[in-house]
Amino acid sequence: MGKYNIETIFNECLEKLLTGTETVEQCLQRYPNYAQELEPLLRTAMSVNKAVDIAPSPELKARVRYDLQLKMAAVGKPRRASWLSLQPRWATTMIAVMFVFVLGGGAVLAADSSMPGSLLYPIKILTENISLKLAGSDIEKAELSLTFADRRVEEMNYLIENDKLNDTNMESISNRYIGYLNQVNILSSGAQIASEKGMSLMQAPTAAPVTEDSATGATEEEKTIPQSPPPEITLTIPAEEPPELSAENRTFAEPDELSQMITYYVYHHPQQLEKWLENPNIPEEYKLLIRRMIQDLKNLGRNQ
Amino acid sequence: MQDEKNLVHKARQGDKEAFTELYESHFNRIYRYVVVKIGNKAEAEDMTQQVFVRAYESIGSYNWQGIPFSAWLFRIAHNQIVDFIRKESKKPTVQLDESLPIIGDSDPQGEVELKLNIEQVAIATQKLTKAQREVISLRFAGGMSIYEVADTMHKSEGAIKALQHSAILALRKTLRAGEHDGKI
Repeated sequence: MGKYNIETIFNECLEKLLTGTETVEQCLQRYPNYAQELEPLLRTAMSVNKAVDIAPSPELKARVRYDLQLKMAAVGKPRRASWLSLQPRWATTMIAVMFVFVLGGGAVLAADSSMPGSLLYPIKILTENISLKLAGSDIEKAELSLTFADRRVEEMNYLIENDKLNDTNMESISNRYIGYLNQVNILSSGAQIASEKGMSLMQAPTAAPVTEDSATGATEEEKTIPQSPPPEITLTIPAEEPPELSAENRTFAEPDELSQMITYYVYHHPQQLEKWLENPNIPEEYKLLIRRMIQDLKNLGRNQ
Repeated sequence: MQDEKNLVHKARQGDKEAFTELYESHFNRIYRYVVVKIGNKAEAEDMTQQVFVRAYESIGSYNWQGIPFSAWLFRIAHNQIVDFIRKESKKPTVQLDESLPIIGDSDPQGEVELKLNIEQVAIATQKLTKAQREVISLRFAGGMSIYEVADTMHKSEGAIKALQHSAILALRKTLRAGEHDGKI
């Protein structure tokens, strides 16, 4: 039998092997006259198939998933201008910490859905602050600010719907929301970017009815945005002693607490931080990611 | 799990969860494909990530009537790999034969499966033709059927079967050559 036939038999057997409907031995029994030629080929093919059957790590999947969510959250719909490619590994690292440390890498959309009061929320805020700090241009900063302002609106709605709104979290979220809008006004002179994302400005939960000023074209809402300075969005190095490091210290009461703690120890007591990371109670994946986060912080410090 | 066509439609409209589902469905296959093509897991991680970012950026231009969504993703991956290899070609390369495993004297008749890892497969496939290598990558790493590979490569199913057979034959010979040359 010629080349055509051995090729046909090989492909037929391989199809059955790959779909698990037959073994190599069963195939060879069906074609005893070709067994000697067929067996090495089938064994090689199955060896290749076995070798490539690898799975990416949960950390990688979580990291990529979050990067996608960041991008989708930032651009809204496909084919919009992207800021993701401008982001450093820092933001990715932070969220990978979130997935691996808190959720073990399994929760879909966990980062986007983290809300005030949740364990993930401080890291979400910290990631936003770092992203703003590292944004390359004023336009990028303004777009990010609008995206993050939208998130505050979502959070406020969430708290209202779940009857979790109180004076403390309302003030905190409102301040951040207003701060982001002020940031946009400052960065874009209140014109170009705001017009592109007008919906964001109009979705404020406490916004007054929108009416247009016939002379200036400015809406009533735009005119009533407080002109107080925006909240601090730069990385500050805390001067005071932060919470004590411990393996059990996994929750942070305030969104900035994690940022303050990590940055404090990076700049003031890096050795203590390293020692803390030697604690066997801290998962290895978490240690690895925290170290990368520390390195990013150091790099950021050098660039400032 | 929603129908893939429906997911793609929603993703094109900006539905984030729909695109995330597509990502979950295809990530492992794309990752394996990239690893086999470039033979470097660390690089493959970054590249796979970029494939999905690019896919999201351009999903508005994807036409369901043209090719299957998976084939479209693999094309994005293929294009990125081509760019990567072009850049890497300017750097010093590893001598392939030095890294070849594989077949020992204990199995002259090929009666047992070889103990390969994915990097070794990547090295061995570099001695195949481009078409053979693409078939092996799509078929085994990408987990595609003969029909899907044919669709992706714009060839007939018969042509893909012929390439699959000749590729495995060539791989076997490559591994044998490594043995006779004393590389293993």
